[in-house]
Amino acid sequence: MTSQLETPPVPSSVDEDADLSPMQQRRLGALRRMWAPMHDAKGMPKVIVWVGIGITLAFVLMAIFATQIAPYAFDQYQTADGVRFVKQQAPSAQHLFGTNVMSTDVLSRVIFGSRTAIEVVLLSLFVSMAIGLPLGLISGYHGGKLDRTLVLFMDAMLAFPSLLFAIVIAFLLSKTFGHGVVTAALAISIVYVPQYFRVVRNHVISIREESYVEAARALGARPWTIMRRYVLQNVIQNVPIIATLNAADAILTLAALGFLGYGIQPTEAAEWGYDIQRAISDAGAGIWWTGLFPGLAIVLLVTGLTLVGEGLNDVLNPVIRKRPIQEVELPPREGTAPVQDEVAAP
Amino acid sequence: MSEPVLSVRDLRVWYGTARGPVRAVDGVSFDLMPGETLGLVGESGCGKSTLGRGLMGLLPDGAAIDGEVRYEDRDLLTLSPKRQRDIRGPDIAMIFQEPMTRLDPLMRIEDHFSETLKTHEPDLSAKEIRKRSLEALGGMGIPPTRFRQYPHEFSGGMRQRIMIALALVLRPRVVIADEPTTALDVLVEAQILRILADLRRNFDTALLLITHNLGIVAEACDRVAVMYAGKIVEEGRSRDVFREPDHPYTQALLGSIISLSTTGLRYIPGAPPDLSEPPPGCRFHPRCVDAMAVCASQEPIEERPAPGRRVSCWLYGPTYEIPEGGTEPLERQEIAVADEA
Amino acid sequence: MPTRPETETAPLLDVRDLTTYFSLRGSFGSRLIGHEAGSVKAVDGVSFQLRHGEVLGLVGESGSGKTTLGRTILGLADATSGSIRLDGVEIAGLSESAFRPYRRRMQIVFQDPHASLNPAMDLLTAVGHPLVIHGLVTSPEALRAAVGDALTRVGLTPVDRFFGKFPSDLSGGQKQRAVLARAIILGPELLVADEPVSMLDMSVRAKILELMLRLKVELDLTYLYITHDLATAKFFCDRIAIMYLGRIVEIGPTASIFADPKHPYTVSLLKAIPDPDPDRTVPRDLPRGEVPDAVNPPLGCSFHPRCPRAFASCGWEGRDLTDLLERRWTAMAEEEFEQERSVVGDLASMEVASTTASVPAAKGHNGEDVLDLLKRIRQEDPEEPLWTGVRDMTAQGDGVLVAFAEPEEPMLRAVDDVEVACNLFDAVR
Repeated sequence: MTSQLETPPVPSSVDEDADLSPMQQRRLGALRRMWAPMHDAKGMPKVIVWVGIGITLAFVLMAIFATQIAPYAFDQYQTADGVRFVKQQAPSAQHLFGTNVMSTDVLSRVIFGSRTAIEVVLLSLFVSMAIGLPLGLISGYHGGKLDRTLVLFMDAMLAFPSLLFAIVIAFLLSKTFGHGVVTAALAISIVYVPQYFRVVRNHVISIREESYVEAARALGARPWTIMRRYVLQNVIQNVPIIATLNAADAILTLAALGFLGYGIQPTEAAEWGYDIQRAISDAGAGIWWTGLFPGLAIVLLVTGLTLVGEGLNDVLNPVIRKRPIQEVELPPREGTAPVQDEVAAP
Repeated sequence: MSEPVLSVRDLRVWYGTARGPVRAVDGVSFDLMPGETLGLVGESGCGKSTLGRGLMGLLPDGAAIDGEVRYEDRDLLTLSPKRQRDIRGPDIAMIFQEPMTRLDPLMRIEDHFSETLKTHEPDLSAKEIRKRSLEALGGMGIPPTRFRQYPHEFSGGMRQRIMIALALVLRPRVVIADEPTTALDVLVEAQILRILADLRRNFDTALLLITHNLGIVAEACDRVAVMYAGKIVEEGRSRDVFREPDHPYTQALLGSIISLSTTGLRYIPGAPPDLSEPPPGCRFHPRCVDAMAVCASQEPIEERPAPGRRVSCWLYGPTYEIPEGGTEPLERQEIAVADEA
Repeated sequence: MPTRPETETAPLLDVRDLTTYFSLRGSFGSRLIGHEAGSVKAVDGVSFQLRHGEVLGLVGESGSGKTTLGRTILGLADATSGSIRLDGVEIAGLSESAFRPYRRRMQIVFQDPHASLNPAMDLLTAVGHPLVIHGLVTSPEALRAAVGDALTRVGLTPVDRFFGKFPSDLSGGQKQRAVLARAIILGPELLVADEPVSMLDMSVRAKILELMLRLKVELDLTYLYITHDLATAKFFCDRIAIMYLGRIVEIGPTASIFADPKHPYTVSLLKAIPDPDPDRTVPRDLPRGEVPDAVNPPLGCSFHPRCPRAFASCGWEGRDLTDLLERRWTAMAEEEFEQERSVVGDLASMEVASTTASVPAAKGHNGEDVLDLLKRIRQEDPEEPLWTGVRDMTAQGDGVLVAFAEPEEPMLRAVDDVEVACNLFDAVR
């Protein structure tokens, strides 16, 4: 089906999927163009992204299959027969990471802790985006008083130390929602709303003046349609990067909340920060396994997410993306031809 | 007769891409005489801007350049980057298309000039610097009362004139102007053209004018070179080339211009080729009404049909190089509507 | 181009005294007080009519207001005052929702093909979106059929191959065709084309213009063709309106405008068009200076500071005198410049638009010195149009008071078969 004369004027599309139905071609086209920079990326940025994805994926799998993988429940302090575990036992065959002061298995708590972390982070990402994106979109598109007010408000929120903010919100929310995953997630999400707002708003402002947005107005599109189909679709590319970096930060904030005692109660779910806090007194007694493993888990997951975010930024962000420089070999010259045998007088 | 001030031989600039090298400039040769204005004309994608940048050593990373660029007995391409920088400015100056992005918004015009002059002629006294600067600006119609203003206080046309003054204040022997008037209104463009036309009269500066606008080439240039797909297809005195173009592309291009005397619309079917995979033989053959069989297989050899003219087209021989049956008209495939520009 | 026969039917578009001013945000302090910082008078009193099936060219340089005029007519910019009637119905000042149904009847093609298409939409979606917006299609098949029809009309065939293409896959010419397809799919009567070919290569322009002509015939379109390029306007338009700084200075049938241009601005535009005719040389008598600031336009006729034929009542003012001095000093050697400059004080006070100007004397000089200087300048070049507008100059202690003649704002008046806004064609003369 491909004709021989097919020379794409802008060499970025190849007609190799001419055999697919037009609908399939279009869907593939959209996905492919979103992911195209990933294919072109070489070297460090690509490695970074894939390593990050690998680590994150490992934790996500751990979270999903926690009940299958973990040897014991997160708050289990005795065997099935009722024999209590030894308190603060060093790593052994039955307890690969040892036990802590509550006689619970550290390994199981680390695994279930990843479930808690992923749940909280996902929920908070969702809530932050659900609030921040539309606000940023509307604010950026309409401008005026609404925009000025929102920006003032969001900047004030950003000026607050995020941890302090989260603590206050968690405290306030705990009255209604208790001390579980929901409270922690909501507290964290409120802290990150201004980030999405800002990123989206700034991008919207730069896009709003483009010809195609004005063209949409000329076609008679309603403001909401314009915002959704013409502005948002072009702004959304930045969001995954911000989301992953926020997720990394959210994990830290969650752990900090747990560490300070404002986070998730131990009866609700396993949480790494809380475990570390309980492990402080152990350190003096030479008991290293209760603090090390939860700490390692935090470091690894945060690193993984950050690598994904930064790597994606390097790969997808057109501003700093480095086009791979290809070396060119010029075949040797064939010999000099004289240009003019005489000079024409001007 | 005099020696050329700039002599380019077999210049090639290739970019590396994932799909293979893009041959932006693929074997260009020309001479520039002192005091002469040469117009380098072509449509987008023909390689003329790359050529201008290549001459100045301003190519981006990943571009490979080869050939010879002789300026005063030196081959610029063999010089070290530092030596190239030293020449850029006092000997060979460049004027770009967007003047606002080339002037430092935080520096007054006065400072632009003193920095330029001090860098290249450090022995000048402050008084002389001021005198030379005002002289250059005055020649461009910029009043001395505005010497201490900032770039944003000037309109687009005036900024371009300031750029030209900055380029000329060092009295270079060669000026390369890359689309200097494309972003400007037609009256301002005419003003600037008049300035450029006076250049050679007053300063004996050679000017290489790179543009897609054939109209200004006809008015302002002594000679013209037409570029297509990375090569020069025709060159000669502008008067001659415009009156009687030799190359089919030049003919088609001139025919497609809409001027005050246009009565019907004519255009060139198809689109310029993909420079990473140019057509075999003559690069214009898929769109040429006069194409012959040989045009599709062998690259034309440059010929001189008249003194001072050269053209790369099989229609002008040399006949002994054309194989049997080569002069038969080429059976051209219909250019698909989808491939129209 | 065939001229339409004069009919008595109502015009499709009737614009009267339209103005579009954009207010400037002044400094924080002045905004606090509520002091308006002035406004850009982008469109400053424009009236014209557009008949069915006609092509009217709006020709002008940047700053002439032609683009803003097009956008105002389409409701993309708010008119400050005046009237726009589409088939007799007033559409200026309508709210966005009241205006929406009229958008089906008028569409626009923008200048930059690379920015007019949504990068996130493929052609099927983008070209079909107007139909979806106005609820004109009920099924995906109907949408495909309609978009396929539009794409065929503009020459983007085979349509199946183009449905899935994104703007980044297309060349400039192809993009502009897609934009045209999107514009015609609603079946509009009026198409505003804002510099549709100026960003395309020369050899592609002809293709797109030919397409637009074909569409005009096939779809019975009326065009408002906005451009700075007189050559394409001559080819494409039935009538031409020349705009300068927000006003129409000359309007009439294409043939008449080109055969016998009346307004000095039109004359210079025609002379300045670069023509690939090697026997032409760069014109020597171009108007000096550039298009002035639209926030504080010149008094009287806005073209007078640059006009080679200006005379007494064209609106002379202090700013023209400043320009004169600057021009003079630009051409002088530095020593002479310094000497003359030292006589005159700070010229900033003359930057006000008024019929009197006081030229201050610098320290160490008095009004007499300045008057001598001015008289000497006048003697050296008495042909300078400015002097025709100077009624008298009197030396006062610390400067010279210059009184200018009363300005007359030129209005569009019929001269032969065109209308010109120029004091040279005053009805009285």
